[in-house]
Amino acid sequence: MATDRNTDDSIARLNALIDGELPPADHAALADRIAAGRDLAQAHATLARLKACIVETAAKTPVGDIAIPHSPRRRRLLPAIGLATAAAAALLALAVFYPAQRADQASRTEIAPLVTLAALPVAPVIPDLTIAGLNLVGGEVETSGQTAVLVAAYRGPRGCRLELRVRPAGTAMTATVGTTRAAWTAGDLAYELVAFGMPAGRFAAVAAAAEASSRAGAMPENTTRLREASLSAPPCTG
Amino acid sequence: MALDIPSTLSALLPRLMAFARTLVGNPDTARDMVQEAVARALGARRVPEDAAAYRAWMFKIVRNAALDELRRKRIEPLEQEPAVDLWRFDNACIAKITVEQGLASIAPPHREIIALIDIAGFSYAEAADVLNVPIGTIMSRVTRARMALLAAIEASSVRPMKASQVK
Repeated sequence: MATDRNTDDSIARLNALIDGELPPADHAALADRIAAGRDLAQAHATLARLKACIVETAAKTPVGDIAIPHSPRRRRLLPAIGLATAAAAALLALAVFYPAQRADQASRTEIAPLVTLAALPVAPVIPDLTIAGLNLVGGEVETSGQTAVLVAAYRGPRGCRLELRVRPAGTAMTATVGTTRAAWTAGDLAYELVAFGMPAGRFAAVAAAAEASSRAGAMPENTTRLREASLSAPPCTG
Repeated sequence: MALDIPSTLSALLPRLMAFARTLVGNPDTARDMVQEAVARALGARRVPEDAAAYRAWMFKIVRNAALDELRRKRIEPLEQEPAVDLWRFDNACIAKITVEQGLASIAPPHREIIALIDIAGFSYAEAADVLNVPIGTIMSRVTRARMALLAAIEASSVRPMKASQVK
């Protein structure tokens, strides 16, 4: 599509999509254009691969021997109480107003699994977690002995990383490094979701949605909790 | 609840280190910068009270140290950048080694925005706050930086080996 090619705007929007920064309404429109246009799909794949490779490269940077000396700090109780009150008020406001505002948008956006691969005994479901602010940035099939393991990587703003590993049910699983983990079996496949420094509440909501998606083949209809958990969670620390 | 500073800093260290290394290139210089930033943060009389603000504050400290280092070295940004055809790019060229080399060769402002968004994991809004620019500027900088990185990868003579070539 000529209008899609080499325009700063198209590239900026592709980048925003990959970074999880595109508004939901634009997201669906751009996804349609990517699905319809080979050039745009190629550009999207290139940028997604680049980002995934940068993230992987940075993740292997050794911290070295940097020391954090213990330094007790006086606690200022009153400001802390004030902040906590403000945060609680903000959360309450979100809980009251946001779901109503967003529910309408969600009902207009059909959420479907993004990718299915045939490398495993049955096609695995890779859930679309963009509603939780997590974008699929890479996927590959690894082999562990004779076993094929599909590894899908998600990234979100504020430092959030997530890996979904899918393998045939009943096969041995190698230990995965991560700070939080959820595992379940759906049909002939075993799923494992691993997060790196993601707040527990947000991870629980994401894992529940991913599990439901893997069982039903689509994201659950009620994703309010997932959105709220993602919106209100502090940054990931992994 | 007051922030647990040592734990927060420990959790931030890997990304701070990757961020610093991307900005200045040299791992030893990056480690020294991060160590100094940690010392300054622990010695500060007033610090941000919530985790997100503290994180942004730490990255600002490291960024300022990196900018000082780059000024000392008098590294000037490239005046003219090579073009790349995103729609015809050979994705097989994108690999750890070529990305590392590409990051080292692009202009510091490009490295900076890639380090903030991809390595530190900031949102566009958070990066805009760190750099004190509008969000729209972040969007265009991200685009220019990634295009510059792809151009550097394409221009490099290094090509990653295919799996079948690795023993």
